[in-house]
Amino acid sequence: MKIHFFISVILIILIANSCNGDEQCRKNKVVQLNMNLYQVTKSITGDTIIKNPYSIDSLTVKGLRYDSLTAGYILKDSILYNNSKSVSSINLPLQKFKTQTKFEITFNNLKDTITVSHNNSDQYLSLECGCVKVFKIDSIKTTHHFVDSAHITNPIVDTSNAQNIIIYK
Amino acid sequence: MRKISLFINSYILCLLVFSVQAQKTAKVLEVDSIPFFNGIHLQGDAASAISSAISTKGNYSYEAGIQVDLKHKYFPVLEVGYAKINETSSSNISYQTQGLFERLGIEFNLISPKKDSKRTTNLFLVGVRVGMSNFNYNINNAIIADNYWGGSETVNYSDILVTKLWYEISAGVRVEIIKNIFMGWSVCSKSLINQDATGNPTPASIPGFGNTSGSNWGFKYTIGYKIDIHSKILNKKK
Repeated sequence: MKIHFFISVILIILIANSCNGDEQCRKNKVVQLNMNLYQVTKSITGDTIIKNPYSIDSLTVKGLRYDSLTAGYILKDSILYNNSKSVSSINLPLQKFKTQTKFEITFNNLKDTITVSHNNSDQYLSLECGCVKVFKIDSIKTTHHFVDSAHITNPIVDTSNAQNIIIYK
Repeated sequence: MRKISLFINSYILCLLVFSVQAQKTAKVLEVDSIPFFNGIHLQGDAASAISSAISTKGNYSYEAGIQVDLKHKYFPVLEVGYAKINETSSSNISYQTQGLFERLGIEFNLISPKKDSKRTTNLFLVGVRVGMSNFNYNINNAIIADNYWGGSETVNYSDILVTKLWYEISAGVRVEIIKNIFMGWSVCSKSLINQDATGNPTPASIPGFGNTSGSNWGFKYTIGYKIDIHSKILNKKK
């Protein structure tokens, strides 16, 4: 009886020891800037401004990276949105190791350049997931071919995927 | 998982409270027949020693304790240990720490002595402990890569000093196998009292506590020796 008890104890210890195996990351590690499109219209009487979510027929987004050889910005080969249809929300990656990120966004046939200035910091998630870069948006600049204005609603860009910027048409 | 742990903790606490209440009402043995001070248990944890011996990562944890037997019912306990932990995640991030840990608590013997029967030395103990560890830890090789814009960087956190507090609720048995030599096992549920702020580095494992992610169940296989001071005093008087 005692030997059975002793063996069962050893087995429990062995099982408990073997349970400390590799674990996979189960947390969200995607950190992207979230922009939503809004349309500004005036009421029939003209004294009230109405802001409604807006869906664009066609959207193409490319990153613009600084090229030290030409001392200017050039388009990246990789396309983030390629003629995507009926888009009202845009998720874009900010530069993790630079403090300014530029995108060329084609709204239907009109091109605008959006420049986001941001601070970067490391956020530790866990031993399984490691670290991610999170951002705090300082300012946003845009050209005005399609875009009327852009406003920061939440400067913190992290894994929560909360809305950060509203783009008004 | 946290809810299950909370439920089990509450269940063990209820068990503890009801059993103590039951003992009060029963009063099956004359109070005066059990001396207040029954001796001191010196004990060690064989489970952590065996785990340390078979660890392939060079991890170890050793602990020993001292427990006082008061009226064969209340067992205040002090435990001290030392642990070294090396872990590497599936994404190749490494974690190292080593340090001392201490636990202080009290256990209650739920075995009520039956009237007109020989007093048993065996114990069924439930109890609570508060644990503490002050230690340094390192997290190395956390790689952040920028898949779209390019580039990567390695993040290392070195020599971060923290003090962690936790509480444990335990239940187990202890049997006197030969005179004054006790063996037994116990299981415990552990919960951290102080947590780190989100985004800050956190220790993956704490000496004396174990992994901070997932379930925090502990298992002990205690081997101890009872210094029966009361019997020795009685023998001298005779």
